[in-house]
Amino acid sequence: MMWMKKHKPEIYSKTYKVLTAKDVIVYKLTGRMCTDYSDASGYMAYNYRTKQWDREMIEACGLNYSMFPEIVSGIEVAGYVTKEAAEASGLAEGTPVVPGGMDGGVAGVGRGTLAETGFHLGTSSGASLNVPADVLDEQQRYEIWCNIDDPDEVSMSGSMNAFGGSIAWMRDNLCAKEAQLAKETGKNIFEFINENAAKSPVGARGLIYLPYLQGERSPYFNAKARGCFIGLTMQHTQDDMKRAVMEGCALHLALMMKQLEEISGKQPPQKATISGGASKSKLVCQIMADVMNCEMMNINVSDEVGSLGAAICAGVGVGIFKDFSVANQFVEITGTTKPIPENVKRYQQILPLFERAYAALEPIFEEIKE
Amino acid sequence: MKYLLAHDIGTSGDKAALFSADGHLIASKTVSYQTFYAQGGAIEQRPQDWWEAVCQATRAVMAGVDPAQIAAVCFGGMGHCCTCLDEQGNFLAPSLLWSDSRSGQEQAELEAAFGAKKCYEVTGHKCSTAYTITKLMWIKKHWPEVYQKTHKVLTAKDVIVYRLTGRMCTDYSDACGYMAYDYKKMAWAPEIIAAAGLRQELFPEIVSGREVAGYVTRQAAAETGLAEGTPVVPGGMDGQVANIGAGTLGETNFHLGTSTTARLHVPADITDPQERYEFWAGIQPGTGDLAGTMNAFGGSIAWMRQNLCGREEKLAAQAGAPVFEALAERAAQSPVGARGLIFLPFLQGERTPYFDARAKGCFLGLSMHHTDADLKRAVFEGAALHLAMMMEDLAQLSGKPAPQTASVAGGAAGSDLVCQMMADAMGCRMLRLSVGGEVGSLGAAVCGGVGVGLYSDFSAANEFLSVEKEFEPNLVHAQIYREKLALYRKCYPALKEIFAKQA
Repeated sequence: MMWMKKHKPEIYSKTYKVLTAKDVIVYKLTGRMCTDYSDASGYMAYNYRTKQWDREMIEACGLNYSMFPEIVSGIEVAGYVTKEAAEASGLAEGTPVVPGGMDGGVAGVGRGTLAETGFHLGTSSGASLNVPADVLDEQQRYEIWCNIDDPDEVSMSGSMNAFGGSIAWMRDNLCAKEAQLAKETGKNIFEFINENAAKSPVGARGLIYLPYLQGERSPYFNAKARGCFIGLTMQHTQDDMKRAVMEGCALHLALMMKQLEEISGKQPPQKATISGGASKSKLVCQIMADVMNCEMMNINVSDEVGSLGAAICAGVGVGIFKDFSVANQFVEITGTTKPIPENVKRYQQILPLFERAYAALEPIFEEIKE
Repeated sequence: MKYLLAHDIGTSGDKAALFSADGHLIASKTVSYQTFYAQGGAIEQRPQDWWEAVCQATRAVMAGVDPAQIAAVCFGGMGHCCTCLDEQGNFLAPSLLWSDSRSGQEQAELEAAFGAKKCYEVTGHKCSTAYTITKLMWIKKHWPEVYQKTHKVLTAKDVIVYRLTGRMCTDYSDACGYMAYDYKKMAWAPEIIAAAGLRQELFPEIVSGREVAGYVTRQAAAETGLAEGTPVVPGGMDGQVANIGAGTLGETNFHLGTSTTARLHVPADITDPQERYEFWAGIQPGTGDLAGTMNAFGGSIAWMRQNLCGREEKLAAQAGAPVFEALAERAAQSPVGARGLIFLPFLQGERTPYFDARAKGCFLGLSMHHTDADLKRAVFEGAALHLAMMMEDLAQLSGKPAPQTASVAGGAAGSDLVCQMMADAMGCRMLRLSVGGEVGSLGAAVCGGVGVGLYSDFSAANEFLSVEKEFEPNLVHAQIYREKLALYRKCYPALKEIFAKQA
């Protein structure tokens, strides 16, 4: 908005309201310009404690307070499909319109409430905890996202750039033998990668992998951070490196969880859902369970989890569903992995060293010339 | 035709090599002996086995040769072991090898009694279990009856010189390995021997390794097949003999093995205030090197070959070519500098300059676009950069400019990639030597030849070497390596404490 004011003043001067994507559609359907709490979070002008736009901040940015839309609940009917909208869309005039929320939040609804938290292992990943809205990270490492259903509870979260990204890199550069076997047998390469990584013991004989192949976001916000293998000896093999990659990815998530727990004072979760590409590996699930000391529940998240979440918001909004827990009926638990106590202990020893390794290398990262 | 007989009393066996006086290798034979390992870092060999191996290997290479034509026999051998002989020359105990590390307590006692800093100042070496003196202290404490009967303490080649000639002596280069030798005064250091609680008389006379020390006795002739009266020239410690064999075609030389040493020939008054580099006396009295050793040069390459080369193994099998060729080719596909990727070659801890057994290997600086080619290039570069770092330190300590030329032989020197990388990393023209046989054997042969006047000095070795290929430093690449080296230097200090906790 500040850029628009400076570079497109003629547009800025005529602006009445500023909306995000779904809110444009809600407006076009109902004639009401509004946003919900989760999308309000994304303006970076929303005070999540007062639950209002922050006038002081908006004015400090030189912006017009009145351009910020009213904030409504994403799970209540905001309006009804108008006659014009009915003609354009084919919906019945008067159909209730429930706003829903930001894509990440809506997908979270679709995944259900089977556990206190969930890990979606994509190319990137993240860690989050629901915390009361008066919690703050003084070091600004974690972000607050308002939940769709309860403005008094927020999700504090951190993003990790290269979880699946690390595993893909490993597959492409450390797995020539597995690639050959996959070609010969027609089986999936990861079957062989998992088998070989599992030959390395818990802790990969002390080998540490830092998963910062694409720099890192939380908690370091350092684009210059880089991936590392630390601790190789003549005895270490390629299988130890593979295991270390999986462990390093999990350890970074565990580091974030640990910090979120410290900031919020909340107890570590006992159960978590796990989904996404890497969760298909039993070894990854066991490593995650052991590193977090938390039972991992594989869920068959379909590609339509976001759509499912939006549908559930709509159903709650018009009273068809009582609350978001209805999502649990649509989600199937396809496997569970319990932490193994002696592995948990080992990783508890490794995590502080993992954290210190980044701190030790930060000055080196500053100077690497590619 | 005159011949020269060279022996290299090595860690795994004795290697005999027979050279003609005009520098051709006629025959060579290695006879192995056993090493005995026990708890607490105990590593021993039987000196009797050395002698028997020397006899066997001598007979093998002399088959069909008239013993009267052997102009001299000369030696290189493992340094700083500890072999106790009585006055009659009986071996009183097994020899504690250079790698034996059981004398940690004695090291601490000597440092306390004499001062760690003073040990370095007098001997040019940091006090450690690697040297003869602490091993002898251990024997005095744990095998007192052996110590009491000991007349002289000798290292490997000197045991053989004694058995051949009846003379118990050592040369300057091997004396240096006792860590009881004052390298500036070129004599035993009585204060350090006293501080160690040892008898001064146990330390043998020091003679020039390039002069005839004695002649093969009748008894020894019968045992070896050599002619009675054959001149015996002592030679010296294996590294110093290899120095001779490498010739003087470059200002310094590199012998690329599992470990590799960076050395500069310096006068005997050079020291390192930080005690990272050590002074090794040369065979020529009054000469020496300031040197540092890295543990895993070839070792890093071997590790990479073993663990990162699935692809290369397949290609090599298809092409019927060695894996190393495919490996070097793949590494060469990564640009100079490996896109910033750094490899720390501390797969076996590190010796110079860190002396840290807990140091470990690392890849630092990976990003999504780094491939296995970059990993491989980084490994080669890490090994080369560590050598370059040591050469830079040595040049600075010596007050002389860094060497402009260096000869290189052994192991990975066969790779053009490695030689060019070394040239670029050190800003130094590399001369790859082609040697008939090995530089150690050739060095002993030349030393023997000098001892009996066949050659006027050690530069005779140059006649028997040829430069197979020269590698000129590329100035653009040299600049990239200079910058990378500046960052490489910071990596170990940054990670030292992490390594310590990863044990």
